[in-house]
Amino acid sequence: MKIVDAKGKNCPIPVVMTKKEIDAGAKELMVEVDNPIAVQNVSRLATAMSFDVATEEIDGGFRLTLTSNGAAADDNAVKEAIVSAQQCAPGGSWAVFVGRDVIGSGDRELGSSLMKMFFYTLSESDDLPTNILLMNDGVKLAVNNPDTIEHLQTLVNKGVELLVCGTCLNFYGLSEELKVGTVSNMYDILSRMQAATKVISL
Amino acid sequence: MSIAYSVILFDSTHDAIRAEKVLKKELPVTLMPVPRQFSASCGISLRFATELRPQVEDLLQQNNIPGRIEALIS
Repeated sequence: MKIVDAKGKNCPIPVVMTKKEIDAGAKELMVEVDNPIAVQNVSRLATAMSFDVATEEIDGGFRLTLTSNGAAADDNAVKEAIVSAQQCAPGGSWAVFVGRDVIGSGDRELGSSLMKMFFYTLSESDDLPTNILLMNDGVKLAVNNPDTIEHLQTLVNKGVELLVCGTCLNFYGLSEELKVGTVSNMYDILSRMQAATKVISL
Repeated sequence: MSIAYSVILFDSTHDAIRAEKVLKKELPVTLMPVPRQFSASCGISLRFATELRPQVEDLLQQNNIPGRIEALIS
């Protein structure tokens, strides 16, 4: 049976690691974590994905044994489990709202370079936002800029939720060309802002 | 200890942006802020895989872009 070692990982990482294994087809797996919050978060995800959970204490933490019960996953419950795990990120949950494809006003080329460097630096950071929200020209960062697409993909792989305004993609005729992130709407984007401790706007 | 990657540092922001355009056509490079340990330069640097150093140096020279290359150790 596959063992996922998520000890020493801050939430939501244990949840992301577990989901990755289940998405890859695992029917049985063990997840080891080092704190009770992670036990709670992983259990919630596993239950939403129709796995039975047995928890035991081990040296240095806890081991959860997950066994698929064959039923279909409850997609909404899965989404909620992930969002709730993201809330406990270090420093509280925070979101980045991007309404433009450059940083600041002034020279566009400089502004575009700054935007690339911002997302590079963020993707290398240990304190990640829970969500990145793209609207208006900001959606282009996930469509036609290979550098920001790469950095955004890195962030998504690390468990950041990337929501992209569908109305904006449609307006610019880019609906079919989104390279990374989830097409979203005003309700979801607003709810992420309301849930965040702080929202940084670019 | 091993070399993690290399960066090109520039005195001028304009050189950095021009170098990105020129190098990007030929090689995988990533725009990043100048690593903290190198304070004296323009703030923008270009990251590349260390084994590409000869090609990077050639391209900078061919295009008359002044830049200093540093290897980062991890």
